[in-house]
Amino acid sequence: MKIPLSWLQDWIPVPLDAQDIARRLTLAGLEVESVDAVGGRFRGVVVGRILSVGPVPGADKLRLCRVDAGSGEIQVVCGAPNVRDGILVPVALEGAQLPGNVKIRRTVIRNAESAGMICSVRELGLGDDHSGILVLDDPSLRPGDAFTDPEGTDWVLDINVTPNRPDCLCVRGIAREAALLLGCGLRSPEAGKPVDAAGDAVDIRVEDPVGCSRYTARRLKDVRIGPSPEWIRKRIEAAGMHVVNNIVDITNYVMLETGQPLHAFDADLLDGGRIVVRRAGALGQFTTLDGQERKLSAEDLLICDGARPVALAGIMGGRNSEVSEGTRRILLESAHFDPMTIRRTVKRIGISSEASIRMEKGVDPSGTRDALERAIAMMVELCGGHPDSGVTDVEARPIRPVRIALRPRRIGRVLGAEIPQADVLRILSGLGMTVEGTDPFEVTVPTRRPDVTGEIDLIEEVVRHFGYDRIEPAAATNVPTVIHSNREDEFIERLRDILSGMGFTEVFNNSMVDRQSTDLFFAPVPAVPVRNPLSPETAFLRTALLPGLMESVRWNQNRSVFDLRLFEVGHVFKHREEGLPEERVRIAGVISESARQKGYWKSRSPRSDWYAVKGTCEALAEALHLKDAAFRPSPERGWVSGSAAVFTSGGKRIGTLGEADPSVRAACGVSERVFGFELDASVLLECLPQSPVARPVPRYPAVRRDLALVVDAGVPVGSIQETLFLNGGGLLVSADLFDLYQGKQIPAGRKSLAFTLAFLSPERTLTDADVDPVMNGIVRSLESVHGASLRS
Amino acid sequence: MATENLTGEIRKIDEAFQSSLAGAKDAPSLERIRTDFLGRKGRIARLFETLGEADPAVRREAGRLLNELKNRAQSAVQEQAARVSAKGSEEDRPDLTLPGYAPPVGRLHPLTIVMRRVKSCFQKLGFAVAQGPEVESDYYNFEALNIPPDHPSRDMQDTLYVSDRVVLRTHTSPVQIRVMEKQKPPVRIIAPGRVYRRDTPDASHSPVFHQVEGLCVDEGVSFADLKAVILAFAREMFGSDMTIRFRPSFFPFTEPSAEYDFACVICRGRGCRVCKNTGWVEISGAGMVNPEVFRFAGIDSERYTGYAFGMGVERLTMLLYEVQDIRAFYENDLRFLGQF
Repeated sequence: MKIPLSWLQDWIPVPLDAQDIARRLTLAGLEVESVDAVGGRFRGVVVGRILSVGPVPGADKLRLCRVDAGSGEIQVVCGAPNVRDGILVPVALEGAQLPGNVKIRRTVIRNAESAGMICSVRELGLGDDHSGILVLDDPSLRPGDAFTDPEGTDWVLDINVTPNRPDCLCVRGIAREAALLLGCGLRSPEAGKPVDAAGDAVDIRVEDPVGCSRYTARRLKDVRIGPSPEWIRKRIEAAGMHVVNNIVDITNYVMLETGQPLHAFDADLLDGGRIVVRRAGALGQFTTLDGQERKLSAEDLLICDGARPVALAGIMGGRNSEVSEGTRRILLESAHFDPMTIRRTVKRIGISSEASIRMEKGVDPSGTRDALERAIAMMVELCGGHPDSGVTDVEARPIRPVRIALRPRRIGRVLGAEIPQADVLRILSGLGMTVEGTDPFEVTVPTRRPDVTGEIDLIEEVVRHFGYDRIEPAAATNVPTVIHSNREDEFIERLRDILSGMGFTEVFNNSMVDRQSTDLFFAPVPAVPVRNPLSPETAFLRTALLPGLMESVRWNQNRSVFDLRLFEVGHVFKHREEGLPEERVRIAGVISESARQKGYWKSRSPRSDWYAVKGTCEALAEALHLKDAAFRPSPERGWVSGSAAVFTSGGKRIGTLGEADPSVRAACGVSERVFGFELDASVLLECLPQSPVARPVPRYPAVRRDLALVVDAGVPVGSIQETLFLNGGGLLVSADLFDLYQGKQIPAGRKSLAFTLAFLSPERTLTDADVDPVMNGIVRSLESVHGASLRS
Repeated sequence: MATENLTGEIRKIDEAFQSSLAGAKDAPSLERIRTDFLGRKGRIARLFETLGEADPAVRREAGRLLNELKNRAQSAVQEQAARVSAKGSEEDRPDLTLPGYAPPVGRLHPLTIVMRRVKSCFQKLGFAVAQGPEVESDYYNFEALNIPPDHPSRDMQDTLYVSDRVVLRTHTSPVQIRVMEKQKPPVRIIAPGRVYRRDTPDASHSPVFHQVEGLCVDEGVSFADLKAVILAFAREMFGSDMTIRFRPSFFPFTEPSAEYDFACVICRGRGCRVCKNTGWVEISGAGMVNPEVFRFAGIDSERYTGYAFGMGVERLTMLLYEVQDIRAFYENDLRFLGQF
């Protein structure tokens, strides 16, 4: 809501300072978002004297003026008919900023250079006159003087009114708050001559008292439609509305002042001169005065005449009864409609107006008559009208002020501070409430405050005006006796630490993705659609994290950032027929292999390949002490076939890993090979062993033996290790592969493997006599089971 | 040979050994000394051979001395060898300017870093971490928070819908209700998490962002407690001289409601572009839990009072690290992420 300070000043008996009142209003919950000067001093506009006026070749209407701008002589092209030499004019110099965000630059017009602009009244934002340039007649002015608005500076406050305060969507409402903040009374501006309210009644029938609680109207005749006086136009425009004609402008002016929307019909266009308020029912469509044809639904509230709809109640009038130049008789409506009813129509049709903005939040049901009379008085004075009927006020469903009990002790309990009774009374009465009794206070709330319905609302009103800054922070707050740990949250943070400790950098991707991305990895799951997405690229919720990580790889790779190790933790979603979608927390990572990998001077850099991603999962299992971590082949969409493995612990499926399929990379725009994993954090958490029980470290040394053998190239190393442990006689504690070799000296189709075996007994130091027979058994089994031959 | 001769010979060898050893600066010369004195044909061995010819009485005493010399010489050579090899030869010495072999360094996302700081701060104040789903029912996201259907306050947030009754949560406030349904007071939780709005992305808007919600419900909890907790938080995050400001505002689920501001973290209140010369930066909303919300959660609002607060993690992070564009958090450019 934009309010000129001068308008506010009409209601406040003490002089206002724009910045001061803006601060006070902000600290009372009416946040002033900006304070802008209008008129007054213009930056970059100076007084200039026109020294000579000459023609611009090829342009009849343009003149080339030489102007003394004080600091020197400049050349300006001007098209105004009243330009002549010798006069003083406002000149906007290069760099000047004019209303409407016009910035003045040095330009060339028809080959003539122009160093600025000689301004009209309208260009300066001082009024509507654009018939010619403004000629300054003050003889004391000198070229080069800063140009100032003869009427002085005004300020426009842009106030962010929260949706609970429809009473503050008008000058009077803001003034009421300001008066209480300043500790002065509220004064009423000159209201014009009262107009006798008597006369015939208007024929009004309210068929729907739920939708329309009150309808007040009066007819005027002999009105002359024309432009409004400048002071009205200025205020309406400063408030951000457009001027139309004197009648419509007055309805808007009174709405801006009182908050009550008004509508003027051309009374001669109303069939039978009647007003019927009803729901649309079967009435199909209706053309609003903006020329749009609106499809009606049965619940829409309409104003009809004797035959047809003439307005969407509280939202917009109809084209068929619009006030136009030829209008002589008007019917002025001031009504209170049900906010919910108005809002449903606003939302359904997607239409909004200054009237509906107020109506859907709730205007004052007691205010219809005052606003109507104020507008009638202005119209009689400014549009030459005469009453053609009496004021007709139909109260179809009276809305009474509510009474609320307010316990003084409760104020202290909620706020943690005592507020003096005098302040409570001062504030409540300053807001127009009447207070009776003392404990509790019996408070009667005016009908313009639909937001105040309970005791807590009154407490808020009290502290709002008492000052939040006057409530001291409590010195001590209670300490809880029970600590609720969040095991899952702590675990997720631990996973983040482990992954980042292994060189992975964390990324955050959007959870909203395109359709294609939900199908890239893993068995298809029904994706959750977003019904009103911003774009098709964000029309579904992600079903996996890997597509987002692929996008992160693409982003970096396109910016020549390679050798990536990235991870992400986040929710993935699966549609369910009933209830909310299934959400799971996943953790996923990728390693990208770049041809442009950084080398290390001393040796080859660590490989970024499938074994790196498996090693990451193994290290994770090791870090978390997972039992029986295992990797088994398992074809899975998105991975190169043969590279896909499922990662399990204790038989529970934690997730999968593999190399991203080239088709997936192509779909994601990634040119490098990418290896990745995606794990379910909840399953991982289930696999965590109980808290450890410490065992003594071995007291006796291990005996180590190296074992080198040659087997067929297709024999999995894992199966050999199984055989080793199976035949380890309970003494073998580790069998680490330290070399794998194929090539020279090894027959084709065979490979050489070398293990370090460690034997350990908890009871004594092992000797060769203990280990030799076990080794012999191991070698025999390797020979018979795997066709292995020992390498010497 | 007489005893005197023998002991004199031993002393001579000892002296010769000491002086040679003192001059041995590298491994080859040390090896030469070892061979000369301690080798199989070395001077000490040769003297041992002559011992057999001496008197038994002389032999014993001289044997003892010679053995002693041998042991001493052996350990001296070893020590010197260790010293020489530690110094290293010219070609073994590292070039201190060559890069070392560093394991890869991973980093946490700046939002994680700040989220952790926020969590840690409130956990120290006795708040537990609670969570809820990101896809929420209309009931938890709106209705139970006193935002009825067809109410103008729904316009305060642009909502993304999954269906008529299911939304992408627009704030972490629904967790308040979910916790209060399960846990009777005292309740003291924070709910960090991801939220969604139908906002076109620009430098200060992202359709996906993160909030931390706080809730404290107990007997005797007041607005003054709320101010104390927010002040403690402000100081923990931005330094012990930080000041805060509460301004009245409107949220359907709190009453009285407030927006809370911190003294501008860039200019410390002097006025700058970030705070638009007000000296204050808006952080988020807070207030006393509306009795209507207690009614939905089944908590007696006469006996219990409570406060709730929220904050935007992106906003805090942008203030802490002077990040200019919120979209940087979701682009995941390593040149950005590597700075935190």
